[in-house]
This record gives sequence, structure tokens and C-alpha cells, in this order.
Amino acid sequence: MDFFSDLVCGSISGVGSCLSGFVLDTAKVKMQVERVGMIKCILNTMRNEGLAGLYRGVYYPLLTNPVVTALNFGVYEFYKKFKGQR
Amino acid sequence: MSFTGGLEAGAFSGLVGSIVVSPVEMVKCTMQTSGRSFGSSRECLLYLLRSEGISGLYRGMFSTVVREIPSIAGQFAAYEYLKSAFLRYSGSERLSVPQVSVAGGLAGMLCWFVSYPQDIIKTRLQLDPTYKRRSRLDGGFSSCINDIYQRDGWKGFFRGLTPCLIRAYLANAIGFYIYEEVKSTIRKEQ
Repeated sequence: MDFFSDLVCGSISGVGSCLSGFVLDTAKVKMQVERVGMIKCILNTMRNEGLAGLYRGVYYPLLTNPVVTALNFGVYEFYKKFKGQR
Repeated sequence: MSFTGGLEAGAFSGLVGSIVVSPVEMVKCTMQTSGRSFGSSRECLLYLLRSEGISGLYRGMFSTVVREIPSIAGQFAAYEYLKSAFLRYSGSERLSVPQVSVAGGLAGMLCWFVSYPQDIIKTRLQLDPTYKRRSRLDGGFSSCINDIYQRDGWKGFFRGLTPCLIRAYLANAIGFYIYEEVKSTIRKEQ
């Protein structure tokens, strides 16, 4: 298994993990700055801004998350190979 | 993989990754909290660049770095630990699909317990430019901690943790599953 395929694995998994949880990420950020419960926060956003409101800001994370995840997995596997016992 | 090895790897990729992650988080958090003010992420990025320059885009960089390092290191350490525990328990060579998902999901959740307070500080610093002016030394990091504590006590550092943990479980259960799946497919091809 070479470094390149570690990068491929990491980046594909980065897209998957980014898309699957963005709505909850929006809830998290909103809750961090205003006092509001999770369900109410999601419903309010849906009511005021529609479904698009929950995915607002997804563009750059979607572009860069695969790169960053690839880096994390790549560096980790690299360390494992050269520093680990396995 | 030893614990310190995981920590070193996490520290390295956390440090390097933050160069990209910090401005991306800046635009993302601004978009998520500004309603319909910006038509697109690009518009938001250009606005931030015009009004505050590159340095404004990197506001909260310190809190991003201290969030990323324990988070990434903790995630891999927890994943490897759970993976080997599952393998020992089941006595098989490879993890099953549900086992990979559970190990990845739990690892993703666990790492937030050592990085969530830094995350909430990061969001506050990024969205409130006045912090930077209050303290030049740490970019407002300590005065932000003080504000959160004064307002909500220690609980304030964990506001929003519930959606974060659910998301972490889902995202990493899927993420690590895809990772193992693609890895074994490539290995078979080679």
C-alpha cells in the first residue's frame, strides 16, 4: 500500500463524512453563538431559510475536506509504516 | 502504532492542515450565521478579504491549531485501540462492516471531548473581530475563555456538543468505513 492510495482513501472518505453531517454542523455553530436548542435551531433555520439554509457554507469544506482528510490519513499511515512496530 | 507516534502524526497533520482549515472554517462559520447576507461562499470570502485582509481570514488560527492537534491524534489513537480490541474479541483477521463503523464512529465522538472547548472558542473568535483588539498577545483567546465562563460557567464550553457528537458518529462511521473499503479494494487490485 503506497502513500498515494492512502491519499485516495482519505479523500473519498472526506467527501462522505462532510456531506453526511453538515446539517448538524450548522446546528452546532448556531448553538455556539446563541442560546437555542438543537431541534428548535434546525426547525427555525428550515422555516426561515429553507433546506438551503442548513447547507449554507458547505462549498469550501466540501472542496477542502477531502484534501485535509487525505493529509491526516496519509501522514498517519506514513508514521505507522516508519515508526510503528506493525 | 504507539500512543506517542499517533500524537506526533496528529500534531504534524494538525499543524499543516490548519493552514487550510482555519480560513475555510472562517468562511463556513460566517455563512452559517449570517442568514441570507451572502449569495455564495465565494462572495463571503471576497467580502472578508476586502474588509479584513488575509490576517482577518486567519483570525482564530491559534484556537484552530490547538483544536486540530488533540482531535486528530485522539481520533487515530482511539480508532486503532478500538480496532485491535474488536479483533482480539472476535478473533478474526479483518473487521466486519459494523465493527469498522462502530470503531470509527466512537473514535470520532471521543476526540471531541478533548477538542470541543477549543472549537467553541474558535467560532466565537472568528465571528467577533473585537476579541483580537482586546489582547494582541493571544488574539483574544484568554478573554474569550473568560467571557464564556462568566456567562454560562463551565457548561458554556460544551454548548452545541449534542449535534456535534451525533454528527461525529455518523460522519466517522461512514468515513472510516469508506476508508477501509477503498483501502482493501486498492490492495486487491495491486
